[in-house]
Amino acid sequence: MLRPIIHALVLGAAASAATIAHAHITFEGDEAPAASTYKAVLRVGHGCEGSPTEVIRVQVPEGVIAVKPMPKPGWDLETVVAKYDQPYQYYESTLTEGVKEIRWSGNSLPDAWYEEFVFRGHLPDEAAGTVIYFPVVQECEDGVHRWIEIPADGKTRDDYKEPAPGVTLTPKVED
Amino acid sequence: MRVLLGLLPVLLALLCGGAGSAHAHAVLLESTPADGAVLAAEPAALMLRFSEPVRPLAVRVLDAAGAVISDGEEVMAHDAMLHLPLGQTFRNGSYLVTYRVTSLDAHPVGGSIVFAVGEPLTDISAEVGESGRWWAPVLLMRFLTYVGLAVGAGGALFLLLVVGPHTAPPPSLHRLVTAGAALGAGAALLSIGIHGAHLLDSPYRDVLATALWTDAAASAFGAGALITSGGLALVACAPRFQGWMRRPLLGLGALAAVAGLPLAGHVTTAGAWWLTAPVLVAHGLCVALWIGSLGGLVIQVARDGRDAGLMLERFSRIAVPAVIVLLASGTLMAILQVRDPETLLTTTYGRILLLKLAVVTLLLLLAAINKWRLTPAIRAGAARAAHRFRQTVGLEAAGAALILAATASLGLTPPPRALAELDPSGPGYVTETSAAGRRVLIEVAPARPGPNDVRLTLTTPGGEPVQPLELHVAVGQPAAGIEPLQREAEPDGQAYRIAGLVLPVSGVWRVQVEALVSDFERIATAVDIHIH
Repeated sequence: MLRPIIHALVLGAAASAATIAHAHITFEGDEAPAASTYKAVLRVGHGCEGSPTEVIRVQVPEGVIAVKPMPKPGWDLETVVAKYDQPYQYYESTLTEGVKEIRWSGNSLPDAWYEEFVFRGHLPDEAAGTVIYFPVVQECEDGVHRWIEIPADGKTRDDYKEPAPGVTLTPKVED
Repeated sequence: MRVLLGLLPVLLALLCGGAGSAHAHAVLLESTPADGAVLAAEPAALMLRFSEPVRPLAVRVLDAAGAVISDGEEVMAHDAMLHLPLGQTFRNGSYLVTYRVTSLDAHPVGGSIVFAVGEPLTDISAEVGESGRWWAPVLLMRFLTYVGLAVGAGGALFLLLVVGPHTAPPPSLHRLVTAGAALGAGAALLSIGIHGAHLLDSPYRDVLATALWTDAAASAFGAGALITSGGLALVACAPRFQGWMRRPLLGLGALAAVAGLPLAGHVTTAGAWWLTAPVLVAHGLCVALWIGSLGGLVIQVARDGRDAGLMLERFSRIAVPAVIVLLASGTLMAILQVRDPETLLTTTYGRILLLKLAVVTLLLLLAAINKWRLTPAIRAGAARAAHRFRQTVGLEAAGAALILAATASLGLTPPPRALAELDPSGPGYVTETSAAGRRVLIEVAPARPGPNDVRLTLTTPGGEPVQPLELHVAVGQPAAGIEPLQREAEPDGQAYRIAGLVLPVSGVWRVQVEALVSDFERIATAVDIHIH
């Protein structure tokens, strides 16, 4: 007698989980230690209302340094290198500029297909729990999604229609 | 003469009336927080909007105990708008904002607003308004500068245009012109420091402070006074030069002295400067010629009746076109300043102007008697005519002094066009808010139920324009259950505009603004506007 209800609950939960995973562009591993090198895997699960994705642009936030994108067969890769707001110590060297924007283009990813875009960067030495957001613009053959909303204090990504993907810092690993 | 002297108390009474309402030319149209507002949360910024562009002199925010919350160091001026970011914490209570600004025409305006945070507004005592202690010195210096201009620059014009190069003017005439020019040059110089003290409403002893003088000299008023003073100094020195140098120096000095006037007055803000500045200079030159000639004519008539007759005739020929220019330019400036004829009787400015016009009319009558009755008689050599001439010129001089006094006080009285902007049903509603470090200025006109034009201007805190890629606006009235109307704003110069947005009912409307300022950044903010 309970079975239909349980079925409904399970189905409903699965459906809503699927919606969230499907709706947003997110990072595969969305937690990483502060002041560590992070491999970001950007998951693109859909285009723009059925239209294929042609360009993915990622903005590197201030404080994330030494960023290197991974080339992707079939996609053109460009970066925008610019001055940091302040110099950063990175191992034995001082970095004053670096990649601030990554752009993959020149291909067409159908709405029905899934793809991942990868880059690497050094995360800032900030308190655990801090979320570092990477605004992303997804340009499609027809239309654009701007995953650039950064939650205000007291809000979460779920409160927004097009939240920026983010990585939550965990305590720094002392070496 | 007696009639004119009888008018003097009336004029003085009017001047004192002007002193009482010495809130000069730019007027505060509105503020955020509004005067008397009770806010639920502390304000992030203070915004003051005036009727014309202003330069801040001092803006302070005080709490009810009189402690300074903000000394206004970070205040920024943006045309007619002052913006002061308030990063401070505001405890619940009442607050007072006092401000002091100068408008484009260099006149100071002071005032205050009160608001409360988190609790009802309590009576908050304020050191509002101004002491008015500098009003009389400023008026006196203006008057003396005008007298110097009329006697000095006007005398120079008389020497150039009426006496001519082939007649040697009597030394007494040169002495009169030199004395007048020196008086005016000195008064114009002194007026710089006194004007500075008036702007800041400083105590008397501060008038000797060097910074006050240098600051005032760097203002538009200071520049004008320096030019006038320099021109008059040139006129005063010119008689020392012999030969051909003298006349160009007189001419240059007189022109420069009058050319300094538009910088210091508020006529220039009444319309386009390319119209008002030449009109004012023409007016000044004609007034100076008329008044400056009076002394010269009397001296000439006393010296030599027959030569004087020729000179009077020459003066008459110049005087007629000069009076026409004088009246035309005066009328034009009066129209620009007054706009609504009704205000001639209802405002201090209008009443002083009417008085000035009455004296001008009397002077024109006297001038007509001189021209058509006495000038032919003097030419015919009638001794009594010369005596009568001196009498009428004495009357004219007294009238001229009244006119100059009235003009000096007009310069210190807000013209009706500035007061008209105070009309509460005036043009639209303006408010300002900020989002992610950008200032968003929202102007709604006419801010009445029905179609409205909404203008949005985004700037950086430094005042640089921000041009968003997209600007989305939603306007709703949540209290009345009116769901937001969604609109995309179209670029309009450096601003963005929504034309003909229909706001069907009056009340408080919520405006939500979303701007895509770069590919990766969208900012959002919301602010209330009042539609009545």
